[in-house]
Amino acid sequence: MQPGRLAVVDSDALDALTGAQLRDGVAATDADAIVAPSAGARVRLRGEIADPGVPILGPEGTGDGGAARSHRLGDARVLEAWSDAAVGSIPALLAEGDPGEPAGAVVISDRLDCSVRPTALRTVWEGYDAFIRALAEGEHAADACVAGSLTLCSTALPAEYAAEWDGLRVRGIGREAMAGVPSSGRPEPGIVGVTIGADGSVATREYDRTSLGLRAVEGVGEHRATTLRAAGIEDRPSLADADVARLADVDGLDRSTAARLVAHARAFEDGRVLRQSDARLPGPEPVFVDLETDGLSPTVVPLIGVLDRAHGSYRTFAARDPADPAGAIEAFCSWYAALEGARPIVAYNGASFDFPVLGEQIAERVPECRSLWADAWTLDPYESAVGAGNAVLPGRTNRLEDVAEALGVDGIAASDDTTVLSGASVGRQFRRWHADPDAAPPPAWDAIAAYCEADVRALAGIYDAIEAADRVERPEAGTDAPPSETTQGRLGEF
Amino acid sequence: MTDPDAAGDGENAHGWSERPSVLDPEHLQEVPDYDSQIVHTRTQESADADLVPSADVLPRDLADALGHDLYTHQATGLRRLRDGENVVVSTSTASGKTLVYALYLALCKREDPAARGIVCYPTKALARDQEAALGDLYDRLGLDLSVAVYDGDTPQHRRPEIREGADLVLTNAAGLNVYLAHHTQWRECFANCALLAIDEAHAATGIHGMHVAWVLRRLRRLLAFYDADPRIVCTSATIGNPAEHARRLTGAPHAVIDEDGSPHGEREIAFWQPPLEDDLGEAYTMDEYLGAVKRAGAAAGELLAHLGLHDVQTLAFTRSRQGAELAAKGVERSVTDHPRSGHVSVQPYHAGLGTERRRRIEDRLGRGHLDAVVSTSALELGIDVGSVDATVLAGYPGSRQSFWQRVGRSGRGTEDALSVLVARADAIDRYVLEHPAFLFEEDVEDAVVDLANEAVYAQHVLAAANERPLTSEDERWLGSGDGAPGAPDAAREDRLQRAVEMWRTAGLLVGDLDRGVRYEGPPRPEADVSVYATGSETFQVRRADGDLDVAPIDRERAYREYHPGAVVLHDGTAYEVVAFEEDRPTPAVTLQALDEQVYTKTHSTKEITDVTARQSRDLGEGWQLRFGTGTVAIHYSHYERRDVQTGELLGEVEPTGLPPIELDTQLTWVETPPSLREAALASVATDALLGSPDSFAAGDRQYTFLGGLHGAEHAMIELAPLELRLDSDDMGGLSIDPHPETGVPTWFLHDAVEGGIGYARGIYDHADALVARTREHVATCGCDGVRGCPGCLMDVQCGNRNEPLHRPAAVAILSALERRLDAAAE
Repeated sequence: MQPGRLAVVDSDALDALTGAQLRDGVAATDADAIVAPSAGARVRLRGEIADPGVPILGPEGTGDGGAARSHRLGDARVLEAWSDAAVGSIPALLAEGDPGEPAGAVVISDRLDCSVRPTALRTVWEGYDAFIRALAEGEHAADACVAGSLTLCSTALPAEYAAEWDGLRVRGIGREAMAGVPSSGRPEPGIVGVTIGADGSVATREYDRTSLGLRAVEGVGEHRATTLRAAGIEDRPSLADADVARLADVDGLDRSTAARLVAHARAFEDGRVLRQSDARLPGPEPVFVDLETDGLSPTVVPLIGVLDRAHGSYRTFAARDPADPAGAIEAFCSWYAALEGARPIVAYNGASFDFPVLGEQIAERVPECRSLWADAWTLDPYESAVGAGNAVLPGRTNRLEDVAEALGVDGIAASDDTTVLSGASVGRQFRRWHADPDAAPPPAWDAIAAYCEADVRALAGIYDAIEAADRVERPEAGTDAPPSETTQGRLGEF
Repeated sequence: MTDPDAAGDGENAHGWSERPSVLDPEHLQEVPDYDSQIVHTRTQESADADLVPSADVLPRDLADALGHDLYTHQATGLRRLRDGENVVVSTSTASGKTLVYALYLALCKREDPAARGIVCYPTKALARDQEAALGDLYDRLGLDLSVAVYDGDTPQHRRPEIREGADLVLTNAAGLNVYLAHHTQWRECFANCALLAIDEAHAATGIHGMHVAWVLRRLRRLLAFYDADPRIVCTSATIGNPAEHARRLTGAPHAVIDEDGSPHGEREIAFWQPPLEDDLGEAYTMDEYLGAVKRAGAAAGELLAHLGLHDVQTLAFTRSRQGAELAAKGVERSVTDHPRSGHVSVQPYHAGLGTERRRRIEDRLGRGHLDAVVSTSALELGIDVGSVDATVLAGYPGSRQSFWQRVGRSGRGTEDALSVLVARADAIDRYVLEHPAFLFEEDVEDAVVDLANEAVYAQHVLAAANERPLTSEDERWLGSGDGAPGAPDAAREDRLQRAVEMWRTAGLLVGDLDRGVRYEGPPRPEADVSVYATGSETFQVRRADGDLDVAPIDRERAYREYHPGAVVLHDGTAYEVVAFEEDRPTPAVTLQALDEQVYTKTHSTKEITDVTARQSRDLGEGWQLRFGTGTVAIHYSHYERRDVQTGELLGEVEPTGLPPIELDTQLTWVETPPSLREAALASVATDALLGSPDSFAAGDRQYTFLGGLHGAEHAMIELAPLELRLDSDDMGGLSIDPHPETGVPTWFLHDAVEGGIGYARGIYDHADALVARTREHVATCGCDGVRGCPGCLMDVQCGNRNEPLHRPAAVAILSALERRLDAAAE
């Protein structure tokens, strides 16, 4: 089944992003529809993206007295409800649906919000009572108790938010931080990509403005983007096609910088890696690894995916028994101990995450394997390329999925599962299950294993692309962009 | 700098008391324009050392290597630590408190070669200063112990080796706050930690102190996870409540070691009152008054010149960096005006100078190559610069503890010393000048650390959950029932539960306290803890035309002091706030350097709502003293620019353009009977009433009564430092008749920090003593007229331009309150 995809564009994004960035955002999210929750957004959006090619959802589209509207995006059923009346019409709308339709429905709305009151140690669900009341009023016309079958995606809640409010699944798909939550300031303007599974599962992915449009090209910061736009270069394809000599005449750019920017944009468009040094990846065919954990500070690693192309095998090590959380790690160690030949273990961002995590987990749970792991040959292509500056990777960011997509190696074809996953949602499933194995639903092991496999194979593709990349001359000394211009920063999360 | 021709006289050849006293009246006539500025002198008697042979406490070889005896407090400290107690060593400056924990670690190492120690300092500079000193000590003792600073400036490549191998790790609370999330990297250090030392613990108060307290609890929680149970040593200057403070800070009980065995010479203390320069007449405003009084800094400059020309090496303390710079310049001018010829080498010193420069000044001072240094509080804390002959304090530093700390900088070993307190033109300085015995009282101020601030608590709960899952066992570290027994901080039993529930509902925590609560939010929740602020929104402070090294500020402070158009001082320079941007990813204020000599004053209006009493004292006859919470809405709506020299208003009163700011915080308030007005005005003649402005409809009597309430409110805030270590910038007040919620004439004293900071609480707890002192001070003020003066009622920070204020009414009101408090106490 195909998931449905949305791009959520709020007023900050409309203020701060260029038309080219907005179009790029819609492309990046592969959106089936755009959600524009703020007043006047529809008109402004049409001004920026003359013909979006996809419907625009939002409170202004509901001309007919505020009833909820139903859409089919991919194989997912998505409703939008922007008023109490609209919420009230949901039960009837659901009751009208075909019996063959999936039971879960996803509702896009701005009705629900959360505000945290730290001085009173209380968090308040804003709008919840009104929502439930409105729903109940609508239920008289249909079967009762619709709340349990809904997933409410609120544009007023931040994209990482996921909770159950008395049985109602609530997900955030907005960009504004929750009121009262400590944060070091508001986030950069950007758009939120939402993927909706046919079963009502939701995954979000945020694109801030440093990873859209021209800003996504390595070496293009805010200032440079403005300069390029003034010179008539609005988007990446134009930059990739630009004449280096003409570009060098632009204020603030010299020849080598111009050449570098064009080369980066070209490689991005072509889906190539640009090697910048003579450092080569080591010879032997590596084994590729990815971990699925219960969070960024993991206490357990329930699933490990390993690809060994030399033996044509892909393996999943999983700890399905909550009483034996070390199961996956133990199996991995046994397998690794039996591996012949000196072959590096490769993980994307492994130096910061996977390898230290494995080290800690082994030390804690399988201490007899400590020396085995201490001697392991590990390699992190992200660290080598981006951290050490040996190569420029194409993609809007240096995240695995973006690089893989730009290279055209994004793993297995779209899954048939009705469930969509993200690193955050996988972590959530493991955490809830470990917190209460009896009451919580078991993790979706097969879907998670497939999700992990897709990442591992993508990693292998990236590795191959780095290895095959041609050497490109490093720019002359003294022309490197100042740090504030670098857009493809370090990875901070999944 | 001694005169080589001076006749030596026995062993005190260079001692102060052997030289003819420069401050005798005949010598004082040498100070230009002298006119009885010395109001009193007092003498602090000398004290001999109280020693214990070190072999009584240390193993023989270590005692021999040490080469000297221990002071009694050092010996007692070591004994009690060995007996398994935590200790708080609360003795004077330069009494060798560091030796207590340095030697304790050495003892631990003998029994367990793997033992490690962690020391938490209030500043990075102090940690670095001590790194060298501790390293030298261990070298002298012939011990192979490594000492290393681990803070934000430690290079990345050195960090793993320090974590894994340093015997004594020196750090600070802001650093610990972020290191704890990576505690697995600290496994070796934590698991073997035998000593946890908090140096200069008295400095951990206010907002900073709150964060230190929670960071230390999170640290102790992790140490327990790694099965470590270190002894805790807190070193502190003398405060009124060392056991309570140490307990509030760490969560553990401590034995108090405060019998000071260190020696000092006789110390003379002179109280100096700068004269009024202009004739002010009977009715004047605060600004006119300030313009007229010769500033304490300038007076200090004259004294430094005089002392320096008589070969007395002096350390002066001022309130601000700009004050230090100005006073240093003033010394040079005064030397020129002085009848005695010679040269005085003087340098300003403050945290805004580069490290290199500060090191040079410290070095030159220590070697006697500088005659005078004018410093901010930067030289108050333990950095070792040796001792000088004299100290001059430009203004009372705000607490007795701080006063003695600074005074203690003078006096070489057992030699005599001189200190001069130069009074500023405000209430508390005037109080000290008129009650010199106050400084010598046994009870020093209490240090205040507020554990009741829920917002700060909640932040740390998140950080702790991120470090390790929370369970009900963590009530021990993060629950209530903490702090001193019976303390109000033990507010509710289910505090951890409620915090977890709040964050769980907000989607940041998952699980329950039986099985484990995990953190599930954006990465690095500890990064949101700013150890110098409580608010969730901090503002960056930037310069339009260059760099500025200033910590981010709380939203409240941004509105109050950094509003558009405000003039602020940094590093000796005045800046104007040219941009105030709140509605962006990183809120920020932008400053631009200012050439003009102006300052700004902000006008504000205030409302207090949702007043909820948590504790009450019924004082009878309609009087209530209460403590609780409420919402304070302050509107910093307008400001005016004034000339620094003359206090004259420049231009019009301008709007700030800012909306009101709301704070949920802690308050203490006094509810009075409606009959109070007539009682307060009973002895006020009609022509002594305040003339109310046209806009005030209720008449002169009511206006005067409000002047009395307002005066009582001001005086209590200004004199609160007599009882508590507090920063009156973090307090505010409101007086109103009637208050819409209490229904009666009321005045409030509130914390000006979101969630509270413990000052209002402190005032509630010390109300009896504070009200008595305040009444007496206001009643005996020698000012003319009925409006009071900066020495009793006027407050520089008043948002109402110090109106209305009426001294007789205020005295009557405070007297009535004092009588009620006395009656209730029986």
